[in-house]
Amino acid sequence: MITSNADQHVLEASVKCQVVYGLSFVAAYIAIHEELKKLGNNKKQARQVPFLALEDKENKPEFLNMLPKRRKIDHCYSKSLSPTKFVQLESRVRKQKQKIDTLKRSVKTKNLSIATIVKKCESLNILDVDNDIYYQNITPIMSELVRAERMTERSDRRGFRYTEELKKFALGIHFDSPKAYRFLKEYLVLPHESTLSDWMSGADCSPGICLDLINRLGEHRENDSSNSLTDIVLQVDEMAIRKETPYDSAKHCLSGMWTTEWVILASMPLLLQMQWCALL
Amino acid sequence: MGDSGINAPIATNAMVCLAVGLSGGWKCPVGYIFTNKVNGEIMFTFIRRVLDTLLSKNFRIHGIVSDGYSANVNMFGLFGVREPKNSGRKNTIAQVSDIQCSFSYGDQVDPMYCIYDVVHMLKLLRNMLADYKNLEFDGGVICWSFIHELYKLQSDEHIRAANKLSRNHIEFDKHKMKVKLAAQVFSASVASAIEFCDKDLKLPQFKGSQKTVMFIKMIDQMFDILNSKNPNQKYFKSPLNRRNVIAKTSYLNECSEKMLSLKYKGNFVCLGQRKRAIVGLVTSIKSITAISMQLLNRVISPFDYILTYRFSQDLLELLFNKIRGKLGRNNNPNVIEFQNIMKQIWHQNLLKSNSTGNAIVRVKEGEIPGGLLPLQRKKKTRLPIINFEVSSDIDTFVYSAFHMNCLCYIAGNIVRDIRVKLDCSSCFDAIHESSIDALSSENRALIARKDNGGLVFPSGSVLKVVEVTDNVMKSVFTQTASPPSIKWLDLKIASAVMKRLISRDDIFLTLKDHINDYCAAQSESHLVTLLKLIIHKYLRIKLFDCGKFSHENISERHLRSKLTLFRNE
Repeated sequence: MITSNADQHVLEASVKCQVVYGLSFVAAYIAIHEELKKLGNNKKQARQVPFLALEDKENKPEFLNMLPKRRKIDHCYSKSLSPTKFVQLESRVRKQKQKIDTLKRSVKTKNLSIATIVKKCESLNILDVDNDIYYQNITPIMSELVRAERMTERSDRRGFRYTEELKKFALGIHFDSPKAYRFLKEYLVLPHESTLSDWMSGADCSPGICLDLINRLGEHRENDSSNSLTDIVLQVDEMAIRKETPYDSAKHCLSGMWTTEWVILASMPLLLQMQWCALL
Repeated sequence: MGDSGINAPIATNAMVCLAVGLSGGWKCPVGYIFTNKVNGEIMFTFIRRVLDTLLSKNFRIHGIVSDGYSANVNMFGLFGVREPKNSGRKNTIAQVSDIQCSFSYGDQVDPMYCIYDVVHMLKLLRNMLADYKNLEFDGGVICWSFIHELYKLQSDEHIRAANKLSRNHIEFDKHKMKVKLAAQVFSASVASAIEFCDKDLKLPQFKGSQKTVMFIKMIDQMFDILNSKNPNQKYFKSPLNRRNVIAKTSYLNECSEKMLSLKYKGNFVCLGQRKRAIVGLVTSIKSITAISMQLLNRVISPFDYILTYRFSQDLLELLFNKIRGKLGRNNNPNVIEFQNIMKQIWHQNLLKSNSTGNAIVRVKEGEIPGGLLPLQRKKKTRLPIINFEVSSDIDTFVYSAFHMNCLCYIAGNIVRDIRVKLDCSSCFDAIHESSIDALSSENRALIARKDNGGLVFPSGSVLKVVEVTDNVMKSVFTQTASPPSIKWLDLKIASAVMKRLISRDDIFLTLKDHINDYCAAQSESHLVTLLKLIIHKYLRIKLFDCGKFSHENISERHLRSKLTLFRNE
């Protein structure tokens, strides 16, 4: 419910500034909200200075208008205002006028400062999306998203690949809430859900040791500063599963037998085993 | 699965290997295989491979945890773990030092230890005591009857003396797996209740129960030390740290010596038939204390404290729970479902810290962002061109009228399914019944009987193709006795069927001239494409079916669960 033009400008400029200084949109949103709250506290002043029209009569529900209005009844027909009261009121008016002046001045200075900042930004090309500085100032995921967004604007969209980071980001959101993912997908450039499942099914999880997984754990162990991944214990146990030979249409065979590889391996002498493992 | 053609037995179990972080509070399954009541050798080779790969990534493995089944004991034996043996001379007491629970592996400097799941051992101990009734201990006797008497007293008086003993604890046969029941029998509250009945009330049936009380208290405290979960606990439940480790170790050693001296009818229990409970406990104690001593006192990044819960197999059991819970109502996954569940778990990144973490520094949730597996598109494999011949000496099976009718019905379904894929009108006509290519009247009876207007009558040629396919499939199955684990099974059968069909000139007569029309995309004639479609569709239906059909037996699980649910009806 922002009325005056100048205020809109203030808000726009502040949003721009927040983005420029690397804060996320959320932070900017919160900052604006706080500004509005402050203004809300100074309700009286706000009404006198045409800063914000906090009450919108048209938006009031109709039933409120239908309620009987409370009338102010003036009982002092003959009495005039007492002189002390009059003086009090006069001083109040004077004070309020002063306040109006100071607030007006502060708005002016703020507008000026914002204008200079925007000018400075424009001179530095920070707001230009093609500039690298732009990407340095926002979080990696954000920069990925902006890059993806820029890609869709191009006429030739071939050769575009999602980076590993964006893939994991998309997958993370989709895992937490598919509904939220579908909602976000309308506003951001994200892979389609079927693409996600395509990526997931590409991983090899057949019986045996999951080498991809161990590689990733090992990679992480090296980068881990707290050293909390190094010391481990292995636990082994069995779990009963359904005795069945279902047809595996991906592998074109009936599955459900023992993992023969290990049966063969176990029957070999030790030295052969070592060589065989080395081959793998 | 190799193309070795070995007819391996059908798997009933999945063996899972889980890596558990001693600090940071994380766990992650690293591999699994399908087996059948595993034998020690397969387990040994599998674990060795896991160890090799983990060591190559510079992980430091301190121990291997498993429960005390004979296969696991065999596996540890292959690693070089030695247990006290009956040396022929009777009544020579086994020493703690007789048990050699460490072994070195690969190029890791620190030795590895074998650990039996303490919780499991507790259950075994309870079972043993309940079966043997009396055990000689420290110059006295431990009697199961005291616990029984306490239960009797409590149930007669309809009040309990601040313990949890119930009927389930005494008659535990139906709840053998429940840890709770064993842990609540060997608890301080039971011990003090018995002591109270004996010393204060001087009840006659509790006379001479000192040793039993002592034993129960000892086991309780030992279990507390070996199962510390929370770093803020006090006394026996406190985690092992540099201040208390020596005191606790000496206490545990004292306990294990007493345990080894347990006797039943004059013979040491730890050398007899049911030695697993005692030997397992002592081994675990020795291993866990050795590991903790080493971790607490090492020079580079020593641990501040150690939660011994990390050495119990609970974490793996919880993983199994998770696996069983993944499929909704179905809690018994088959092989393919199991594989998919594991994929899901790995993608979703189980590497999470839980409340029972073992360190001040925890692995943050999603510390490794995203899943643990790489995200790539599935590689498209080109189907191999397969030349497969079924030995022709097997006579073609002769089908009964019943069988033919059923085949005809399936053929009708196939036609209904594939006709949407055809964009050639003459092919479309050829697979439907017509006056030129009609079904014999006895073969169409089932469809005619079942038809409400929506069923499709296939042409005679389609039925013939289906019949040949069924024939070949049957002969492949009879050649290999059990369902064959041959790779590319459907492609192989299809190629054999095609070979047989080429020589026949009584199918798809209407398409004889059509043969010159080529399908541009596949560079095959329409006839070949059509035949392939029919054959693959039939094989798909049949193979999915035979996976279930070959082991069809009435599910006992279903019967039992229904009996439980509807007991009163």
